[in-house]
Amino acid sequence: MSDQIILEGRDITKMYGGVKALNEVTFRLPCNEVVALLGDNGAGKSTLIKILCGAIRPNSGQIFVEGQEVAFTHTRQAKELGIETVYQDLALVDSLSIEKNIYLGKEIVKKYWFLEVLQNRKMKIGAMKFLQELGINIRDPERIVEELSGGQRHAVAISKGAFWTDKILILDEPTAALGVKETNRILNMIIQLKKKGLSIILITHNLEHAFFVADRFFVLRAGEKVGERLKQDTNTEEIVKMITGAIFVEAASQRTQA
Amino acid sequence: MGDVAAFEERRKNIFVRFFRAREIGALLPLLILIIIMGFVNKRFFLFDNIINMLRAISYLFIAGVGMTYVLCSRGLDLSLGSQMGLSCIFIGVLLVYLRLPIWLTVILTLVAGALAGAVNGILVTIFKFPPFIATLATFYGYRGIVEGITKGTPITPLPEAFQVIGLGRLFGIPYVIIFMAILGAAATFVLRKTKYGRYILATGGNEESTRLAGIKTKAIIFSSYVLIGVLAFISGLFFTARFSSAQPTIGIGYELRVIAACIIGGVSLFGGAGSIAGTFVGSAFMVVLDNAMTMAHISAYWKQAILGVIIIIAVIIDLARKRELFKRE
Repeated sequence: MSDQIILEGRDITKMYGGVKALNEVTFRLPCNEVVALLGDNGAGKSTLIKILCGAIRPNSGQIFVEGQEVAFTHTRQAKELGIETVYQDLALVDSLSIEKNIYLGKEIVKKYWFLEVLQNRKMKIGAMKFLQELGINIRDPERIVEELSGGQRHAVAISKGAFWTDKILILDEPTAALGVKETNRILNMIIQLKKKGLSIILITHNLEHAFFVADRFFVLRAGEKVGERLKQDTNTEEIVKMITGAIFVEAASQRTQA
Repeated sequence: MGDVAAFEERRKNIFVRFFRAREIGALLPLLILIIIMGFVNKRFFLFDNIINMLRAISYLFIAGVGMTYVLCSRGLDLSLGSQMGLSCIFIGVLLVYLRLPIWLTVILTLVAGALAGAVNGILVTIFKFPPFIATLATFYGYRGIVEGITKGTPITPLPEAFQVIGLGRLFGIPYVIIFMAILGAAATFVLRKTKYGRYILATGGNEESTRLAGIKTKAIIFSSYVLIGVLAFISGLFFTARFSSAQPTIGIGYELRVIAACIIGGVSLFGGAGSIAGTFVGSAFMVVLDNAMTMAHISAYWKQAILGVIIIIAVIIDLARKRELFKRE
């Protein structure tokens, strides 16, 4: 594990109207680490990753990819720099097959004069190879995504993201709404991706999952960075305290009194 | 590593796989119908009858190719029949009133088709009308233009040289049938083997996911309406060229026949799935059934009722394909 920072958001502030969704948050993703991004609903997790993957622009702050400052105006630019995002709703096209989803928008074509012809066989083989590398046992990449189980769909969505980058993968609640067995498979898959050399940001509500795969925890609360801990330096209790926080409890009790 | 996120494979049995093929829903009944017709009526397999049926299929199919693309991208075009009528009257005006040469008329007809489709495309993509509403408006709008220009009477006489397009044959086969074959091959290729076809299906499957993959889905949707406009005008062109006059009634109710042909051929009304071969089978089914019912002396009124039942069956098959009917736990 190197201490090199592959992705950094420095002093990021994002306002929605008069509300500060993020207040000068500095987030660092070390190379080849899994960082769990934790926080309650509305803590600013989604806003932060949207900024890091170029979907929205911060009001102030800087973003660095491998030490170079960048200014994203579109997710395409982030993707070109090797930042892939797997959204919570998976962003799959259910009516298409697995391999067509993986290659969507980046199809392999062969040019005949002015005609670009899809190389379906090549894409099928490419998708199959990659899925096998991740230990996803699949004989038929032509299966329609609609026919897959929830866990399989998550696996396909993560594969789709991982297929197109060897650097940074952002996973937004990859284990949401999954059963125990399927969750374990996804978590194993994340470990597998880390072994392949990816640096991963993992958003989750489930601390058990976070402790299983993450090297580092980054906690947000109400748009502020609460703290950052290495796994060996902390425990579930401390992280829970960081997420809920005394301040939050006080604010809530004040509201009930009023 | 082992079985991380293992995908258990279930081998579907041959019956399920057979019925999962999109075209099959109508192909089997079509073949049965053809065989029965062959036995019952000796004239059914005569060359002329086959050519006549293929000709009738081609008008449906040419427009149906456009409808397939629109439905696959989760759109709908109710103005198809009105566009065919508009094509007919447009040709009549150019040839009879303005006395333009035939080659120029054909080119302008294609351009007009693209524009008529573009209006739908703009309403759907820029003004964000639901396709049903947008094309319902142009359904009335275009038909209104047709009736306004003609006041209900045909434009006549069309030059005889123009009728060559509709009546001419190459090796005994009408041009329109040859055009249908070329169009069918080209449209299948585009839908299966090009990025454009892939993006049509992807957009219909899930527009937002497709957009996130960096594809300009609005442009894809817009283009599908332009395409159906051009094809509707071509269908209208071939139809008009069979007669000596431009009839304002051409295309009335045609949109529903074309949609029915697509649905029977397994094109999903819910977007994302369909095939050109299926649309051909659906179009053929419509025409052969019509032919069969005529030969069986079934009245036109009852024909519609039978067609209704068939559409219900076709949609049930479509739903069954999507849902649990063929799935096992």
